[in-house]
Amino acid sequence: MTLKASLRQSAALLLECAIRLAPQDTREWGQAMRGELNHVESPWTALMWALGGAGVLMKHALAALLMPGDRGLPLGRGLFARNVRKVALVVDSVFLLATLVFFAAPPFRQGLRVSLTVWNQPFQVTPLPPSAWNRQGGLRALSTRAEAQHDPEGLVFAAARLVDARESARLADEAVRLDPRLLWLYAIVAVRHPDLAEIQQWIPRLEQWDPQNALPYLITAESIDIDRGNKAAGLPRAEWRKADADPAWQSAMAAAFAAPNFDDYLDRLRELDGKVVRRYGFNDPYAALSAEDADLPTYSGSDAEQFAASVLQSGRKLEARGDRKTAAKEYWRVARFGQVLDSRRGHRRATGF
Amino acid sequence: METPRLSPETRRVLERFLERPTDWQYGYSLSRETGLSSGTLYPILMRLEKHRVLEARWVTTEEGVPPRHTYRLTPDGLEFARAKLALPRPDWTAQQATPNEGKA
Repeated sequence: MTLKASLRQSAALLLECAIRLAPQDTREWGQAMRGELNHVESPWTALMWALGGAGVLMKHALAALLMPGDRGLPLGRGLFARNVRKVALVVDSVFLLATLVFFAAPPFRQGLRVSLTVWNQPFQVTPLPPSAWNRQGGLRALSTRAEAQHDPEGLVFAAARLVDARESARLADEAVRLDPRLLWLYAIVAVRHPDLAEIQQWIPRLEQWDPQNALPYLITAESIDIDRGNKAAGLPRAEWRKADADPAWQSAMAAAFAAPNFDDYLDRLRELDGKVVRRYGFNDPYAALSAEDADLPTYSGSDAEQFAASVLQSGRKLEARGDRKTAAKEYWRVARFGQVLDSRRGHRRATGF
Repeated sequence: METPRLSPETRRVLERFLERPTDWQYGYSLSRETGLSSGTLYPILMRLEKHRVLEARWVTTEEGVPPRHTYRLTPDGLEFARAKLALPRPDWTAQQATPNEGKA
């Protein structure tokens, strides 16, 4: 079949399909256009003729669909040019309005944001500018309401997520004051904001409250690390290296390695999150998930590695001296701490977090 | 007789009919003469027919080929077209603003 014949056939097929879909009272003039098709000289012109006819037939088919009572726009009412446009305008406006209302619905906005976020990385888009992120308007509003209602759980939710360290510490203190059982919040805020001066008061309370947990000791070690880092600022690297032997840091890390478990308290936070999100109708999934950043503190890895190296070194020295039994104990300290951390990760994998 | 609105395109179609008031004319030739596409021309033709300005009939030209629709002015349509086209072309925006003019 030649191209010309194909074009003509396509044009005829297009018009015939449009005639079938067109309202009853417009089919006659569809047939009239179909009748002319054989007398159009050029196949391209025939295709254009068919496209024009099919377009207007579809316009009426759509209008008939939207206004079934009108039986597809009666022909004799002067409707062709203007009334159809009016109807289309009204229908378009209604749909546009409905769309805008849809966009105004928080669950839709939330869903849209979540859907679009998967494209942020490929297109290197930052979901929110840092300034907007730092404002955390929704979280701040929630914390204001929680304070007004003396709701410690709402305060925990906000304190665990606010990027403003001072405000986070203030809310944490207020939450624990209202409900001392929420003392674990100090650990979450301390991990998130390790520079806070309040940590010095929080740590003894945490260690007393949960002495079996390695986390408070790791927080202590990190606090010492930050402090010595501040003091060593500007000092030569050799001086900074000396600080590794700080007995307070060594003691904190030894306590962490001796602790029988590791709990970052995020399970407690998640349990509480569900209640707070429902209670306050909190609709920002990213802010809600932002506490996940706290997870296993990154410094626990570096500090533990540093301390483990010194313990292993001590084990090797003991082994070299022939004290294999004490050396084995040293090696086991490292292995056991690894198991404690790993069991926590295993628990997280098992629970899906 | 109900009078359809006269858009510039409708006037152009009526002018073609007035040139040969008693002739039957085919849609495609009208389209070529007026420069209107099928999607614009046919709604106008059907509207004019509905208002009895035009009459239409089916013509079989050859076996196995779909019949063609042809159109010509009715006597009333001729009178209407002459009356309308004799008047100076109205300002289209002003005509649109007149609610009863041409409304069927």
